[in-house]
Amino acid sequence: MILANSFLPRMLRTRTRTLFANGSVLGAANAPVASIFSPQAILDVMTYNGSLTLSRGKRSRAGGELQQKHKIVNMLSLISPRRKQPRRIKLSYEDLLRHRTVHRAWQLIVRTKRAERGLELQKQYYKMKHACDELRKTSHVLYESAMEKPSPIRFPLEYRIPTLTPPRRIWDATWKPPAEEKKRRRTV
Amino acid sequence: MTLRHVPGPLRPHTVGLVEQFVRPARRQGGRSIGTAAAKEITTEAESSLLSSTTSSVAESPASVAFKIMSGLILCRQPIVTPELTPFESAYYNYQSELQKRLMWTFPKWFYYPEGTLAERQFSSVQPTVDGSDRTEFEKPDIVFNRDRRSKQEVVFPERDVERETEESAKIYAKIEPRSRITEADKTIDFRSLERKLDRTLYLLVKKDRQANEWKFPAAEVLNGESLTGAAKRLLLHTGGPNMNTWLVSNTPAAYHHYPYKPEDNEAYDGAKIFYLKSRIFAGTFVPQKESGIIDYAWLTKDEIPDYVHKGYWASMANALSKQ
Repeated sequence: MILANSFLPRMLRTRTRTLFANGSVLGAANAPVASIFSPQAILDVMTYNGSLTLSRGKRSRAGGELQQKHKIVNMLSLISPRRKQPRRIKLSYEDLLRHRTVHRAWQLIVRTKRAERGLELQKQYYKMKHACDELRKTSHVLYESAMEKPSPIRFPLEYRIPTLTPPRRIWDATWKPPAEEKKRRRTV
Repeated sequence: MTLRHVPGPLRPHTVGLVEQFVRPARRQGGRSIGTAAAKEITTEAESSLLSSTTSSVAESPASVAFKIMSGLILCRQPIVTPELTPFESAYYNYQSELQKRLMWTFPKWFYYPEGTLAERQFSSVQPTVDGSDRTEFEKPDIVFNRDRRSKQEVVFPERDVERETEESAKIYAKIEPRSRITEADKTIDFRSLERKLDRTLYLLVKKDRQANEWKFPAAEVLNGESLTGAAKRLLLHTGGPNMNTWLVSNTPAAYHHYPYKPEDNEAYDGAKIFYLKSRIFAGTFVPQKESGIIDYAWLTKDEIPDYVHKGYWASMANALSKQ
């Protein structure tokens, strides 16, 4: 299998994804040369060298070698691009223009959204700064206590990232503080 | 340490603290905004902010006694992702179709070994591909029952219902996504936290008085208390203990001040409210009797202006998030 590992990267060298990376269609791949690196060719080399054991210490039955051969061909065919790759996308000039227009429109939307979000954050920041300045003018004791940063900052585990669809139980309305917390409140 | 709220001279070492703790955003964020239009808007925002600070300073000389209050912007974060625009959904559809077109052929021989019953069942439901569906001058390029010029349609055979046990039915049951529109959306229940799942909801409370009924909850900061301590006490006394909340920071995120009228019968001339941001994760807000709250609502940013006074909204709007 050493031989198989050595040719893996070359086999997996496909350029189909360039379309998504830079918005051009021209990078879609041709199938790499499969004649030397096809599963069957590799297998022939391996059988010629006489090393065909996949699992160590396993007793082989009669005709086991042929079965093993099929198994290896099957496995290798999964990672081989031979005859499984799609055709390269050929776009006409108009289609290419269309594709690029869509891509640029999308980039424009992303940029606008980012700018809007940045502006919103900036506004929130100035609100915060204004509040802090006022607090400092009003009471420096309160100001200093407000500027204290908890260390370490504890981030709640309950935080969840928005999903496409809501969870089964959307909101836990019957939440109650843990029992220890209750006891502590009673004693204090 | 005892805290006393006497407006006094600043200690020298606190003068530079604002700049030290709160770094100006322009240095970091200026580049990301980029466009000239955005710059104009920000400069406008800055100038309006400057004017507002100067005016507030002029209105509130040091001799006026203010009641210091701690307010709470309690919000529920969005549960689902924002609604897509028609262009966004069309773009995602285009990208997924492109990806399907560029996908490798499904390796049938690996999942369904040759000569098995499963293979026969699988093959029987596959659509026949002859390449005649496309009227083009190209030659069809069919390999492994797939026209390599287009995406592959793989159909999986349906499960045998008769042989299904209860357990297997449970495992293979189709997952049906929940609706993004809930019951609370249909009935427009402002007290429910299951409304408007893709937006941030803010808590507003209503008090029994003539003007400015609806506001974010706020309470006076007692002697010896910090803003944070007052906010925690406020939450417990107004909404009860059954809420899982998290205070984002000790730093106030918004500020509002207003003068008291003579008919208010207050010992102070006015009030200054410093708002802290907080998040709710679980539980219910149950208005307590002693707090004087007669109603409450969970509202999005767009809905709040209908409830609150104009001046109040002007000092709160920019602290809230749009989504």
